[in-house]
Amino acid sequence: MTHPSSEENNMKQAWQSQPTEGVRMSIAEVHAKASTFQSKIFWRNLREYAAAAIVVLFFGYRFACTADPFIRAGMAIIVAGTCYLVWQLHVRGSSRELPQEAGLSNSIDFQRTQLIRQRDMLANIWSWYLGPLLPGMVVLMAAVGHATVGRVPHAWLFTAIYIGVIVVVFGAIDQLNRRAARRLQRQIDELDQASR
Amino acid sequence: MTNPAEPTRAVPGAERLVKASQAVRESRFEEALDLFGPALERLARAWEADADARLDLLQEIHIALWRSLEAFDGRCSFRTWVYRVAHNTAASHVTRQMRLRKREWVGLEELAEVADPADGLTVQSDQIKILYAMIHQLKPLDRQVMLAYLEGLDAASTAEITGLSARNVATKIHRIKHLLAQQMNPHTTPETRDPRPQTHSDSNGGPQ
Repeated sequence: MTHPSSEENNMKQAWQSQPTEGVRMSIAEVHAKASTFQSKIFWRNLREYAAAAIVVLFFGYRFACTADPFIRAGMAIIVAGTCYLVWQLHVRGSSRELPQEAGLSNSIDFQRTQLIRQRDMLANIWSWYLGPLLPGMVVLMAAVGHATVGRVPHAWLFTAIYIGVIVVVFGAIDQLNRRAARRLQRQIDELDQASR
Repeated sequence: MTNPAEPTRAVPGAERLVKASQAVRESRFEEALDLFGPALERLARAWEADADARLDLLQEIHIALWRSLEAFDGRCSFRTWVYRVAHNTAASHVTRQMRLRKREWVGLEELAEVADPADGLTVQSDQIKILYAMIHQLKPLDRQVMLAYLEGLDAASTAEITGLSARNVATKIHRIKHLLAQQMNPHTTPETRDPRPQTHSDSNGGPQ
């Protein structure tokens, strides 16, 4: 059996005897602070949802003012897609809350669970973020193109370009997220390796 | 019919049980801070260099600890439980911060010379400053092992807290000892500085 050197002991002793400030929360403070944290999360979520609400209100208003059924269909799909996106954000937002079961899992399991949730969110971005938004935007662009044929020169060409730009931007977002998901997967692999 | 909004009024025994369970939880929380308060402060310093964010982290740990104690059932030791909560909360905190600050961490095997001592810790000895500067660069798992080592936890407890295999904990502690010796005694010979554990292939292999 090897005994720790005196240098090691000195180091540990220096570490453990460093002055601390004696920060200690009372139970009442814990309750108050926990409420503040929850309130912060609530307002942060609300800010995120406010942007979606603006989209819904804008297209909802335009829907009511527009007679063209093709354009109205595009707007309705956008509103439906945005509502679905908000619901998904709400369901998936739990990862930002304080850890409740932090004592039940060792660090590797705890981190692994968090990383897997983030990886799946990024890797499946089409199913919950891009997918719900794309159909409405494409239909709306096509409807606007259809409505302007004969009044605007090369209306279909412009429409095709707009739709192409949207598809390329969405594709780029997808690629960036897939790259981030691969980076998280490498971290998950590292954790798996470390636990063996 | 029982009013669903006030179920405990209809069952006074249940109310007493809830109160008793709450008292046990409060007592455990106080006990955790009595036993591990200073260690939690050191842990918060080790995970967060910024003074304001450090206080936030420490409070976050206290809150997580309070919330977690509802689920504490004695399946692991109280110390293991407290350290797990603290490390997991801290790791989540700094992972969020890392995304905001765009910082990269390194593993024990990549951690070489420490250029700048930790900031904001002017009352501590140079030794402690160097330790913090090293720890702040480390990846979460390596950081946890280093902290557990400095807090005097044995390898089995460290494995239980981190989830690392006993073999990996031993390897990491070996590296930590070399790193610490290298930092605290910069005049040691290069042979004694190698942080890798000696293996058969290491001793036989020449330069590639």
